[in-house]
Amino acid sequence: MGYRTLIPIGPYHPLQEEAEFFQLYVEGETVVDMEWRTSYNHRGIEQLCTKRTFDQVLFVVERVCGICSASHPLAYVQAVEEIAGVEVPERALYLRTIVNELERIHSHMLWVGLAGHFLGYNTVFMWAWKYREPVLDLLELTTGSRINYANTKVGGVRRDIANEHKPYILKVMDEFEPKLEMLTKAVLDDYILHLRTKNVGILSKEEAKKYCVTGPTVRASDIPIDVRRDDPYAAYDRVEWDVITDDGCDVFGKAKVRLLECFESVKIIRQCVKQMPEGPLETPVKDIPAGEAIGHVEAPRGETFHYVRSDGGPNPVRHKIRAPSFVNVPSFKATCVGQPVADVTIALAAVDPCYSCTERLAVAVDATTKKLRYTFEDLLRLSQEKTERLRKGKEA
Amino acid sequence: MVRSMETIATGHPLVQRILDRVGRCIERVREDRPNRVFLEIAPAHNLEVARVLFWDLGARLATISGVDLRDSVEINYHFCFDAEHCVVTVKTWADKPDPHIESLAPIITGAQWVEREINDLIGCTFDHHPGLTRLILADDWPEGVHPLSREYQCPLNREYP
Amino acid sequence: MSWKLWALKKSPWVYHVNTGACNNCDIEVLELLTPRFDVERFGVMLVGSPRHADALLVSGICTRQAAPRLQEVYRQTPKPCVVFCIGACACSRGIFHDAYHTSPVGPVDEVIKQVDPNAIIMYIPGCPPKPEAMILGVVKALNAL
Repeated sequence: MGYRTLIPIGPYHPLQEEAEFFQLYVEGETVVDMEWRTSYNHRGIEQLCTKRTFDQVLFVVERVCGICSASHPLAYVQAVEEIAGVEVPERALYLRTIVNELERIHSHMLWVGLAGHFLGYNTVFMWAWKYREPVLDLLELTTGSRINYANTKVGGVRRDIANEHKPYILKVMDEFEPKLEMLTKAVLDDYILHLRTKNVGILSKEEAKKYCVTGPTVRASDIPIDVRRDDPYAAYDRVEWDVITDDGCDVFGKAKVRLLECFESVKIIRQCVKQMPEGPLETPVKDIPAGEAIGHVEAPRGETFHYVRSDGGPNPVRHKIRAPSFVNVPSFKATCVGQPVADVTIALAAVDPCYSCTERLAVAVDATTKKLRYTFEDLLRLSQEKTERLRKGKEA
Repeated sequence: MVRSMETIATGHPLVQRILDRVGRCIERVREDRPNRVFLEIAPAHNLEVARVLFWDLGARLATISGVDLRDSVEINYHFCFDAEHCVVTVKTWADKPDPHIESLAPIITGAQWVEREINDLIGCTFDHHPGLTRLILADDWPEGVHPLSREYQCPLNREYP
Repeated sequence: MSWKLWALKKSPWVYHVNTGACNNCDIEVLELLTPRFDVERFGVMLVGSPRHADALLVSGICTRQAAPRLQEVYRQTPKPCVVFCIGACACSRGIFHDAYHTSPVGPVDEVIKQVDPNAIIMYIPGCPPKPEAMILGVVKALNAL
């Protein structure tokens, strides 16, 4: 089973020339060092947050990253609720959980598509994004928007799920699960994918600890850290689910963890929809007193950490936002050194940086002459050509 | 700035383990709510406390945040103890002008990038950092201007009603 | 109408540039390729280099670091070319209008006009604009040319 057509249709991935985000130094065909420079996406959000009121900050914070658009506001809102000492009603907790898990599914499907594209499996790219569409429809149904949800607010949520929508949500999950199974088997059982992803981009347990990585990146190195279990928030302590880990430490392990997490998300959503009690959607909050607090949630990429400090005024005094990619992406240095150039793109994609970070990816520079050897287009092409060679080698 | 030497009796068992190891470095312990512990230490002890928390007690460094107060820069080290379900924040200070503090990067690799970010945005220098270069501000951003410091006024900012 | 313009209208090849966006608009642009919206049946193709492009899809507020790169990309795109400003950030910077790291020149359209005052710029507002809105914007733009 699993109809797999490998027709290289060519690089669709939108690229930007010349902007160096990662500078890789290569000797021959092996990477020896990596430097990281990030400034293209810096919008000064932390400074903006000190100039907005607490409820205006929510809309700013949503746009930190589009794919984790439900995680950032939730982390911020949890921090503010801790400062204000507010108890969120139970129905709101379940609604928050449903939106976060739907976001996790859509983000992992997005990742599977991009990883497939980097490896030259454009069919996987098209399938993954096609099966992601019903999930986005569900998000539009529950929150009103496909991507920027604006559903969370300090004290609760903004929108409810009507009872007549619940059977539809369960139906979409029932239809999604077999497609997810098919995609999982197609990706995890493919011999060529094993050759391309096993023992590639290895992040050992010790390196994972030193770089303080989080999310599927660390769970694939056999360290079971998950904020949903370690510091439960929303309704995660009221439903049954498992933390997925893998001891492969390589790209294959990361792919496996992400795909299996989607199944757990489907499980969580089903339980939430069935168990959700009736009740109010929010607790009214008047003023935020002076204080400081921390909110952290498990975004699809890892732990999103927000530190909010208030002095009793209308604006936060300090709002520190630490997206998961900020800790995960430096671990690319540990995984790419010693790898052949053709494996660099998939090693970086496995860390799952935010898409716009991936876009202005890497250029490879010769270590001795410091001259540009490969642009990102070349690195992508090398990766796709390697898959072709392996496929021909197998069939020959 | 005079800091008081008070230790409040605490509820979380983790705190006692920390106090047993580095109690002499800790000036104040605060536990406002469950699973959130705030420790205040003198800046000279930051490396030792971080080493004990990260390597001996198995915490994970979530991030480091800097807050520009009037006469000093406050540095918060946020450590997550996942198995014990607790977040411990270690607070210390670097006095202005020209704030300096010892870098954690030699013992915790994950601190390298966030210290560069604090250096760019707030202006605190981290001594013995392996490469304290510009990370997050543009190449043509003027030197010495730190957007998150109290002195910085963004010309574009408007006050909202 | 020149034959170049006719070819552009029949099958515009687009190149996507991100000048400091939150990814939402970028994902919606990529969604255009996927089987639900599938713009390839209209002849629209996403290319990997601005030298092959007829239209630029620009998203983002145009940060200080990204502005010179955007101008370079615009210079490399063969004319005639249409610049689509996708999303509230590219149109007018949206909620980031008073952020400190934005380019002092202005949002995307000012940055492009600094290079070419006669540039053809189309605005597709939204945060993010839905894929249907983007297709409508492209169709309207091509009809108006």
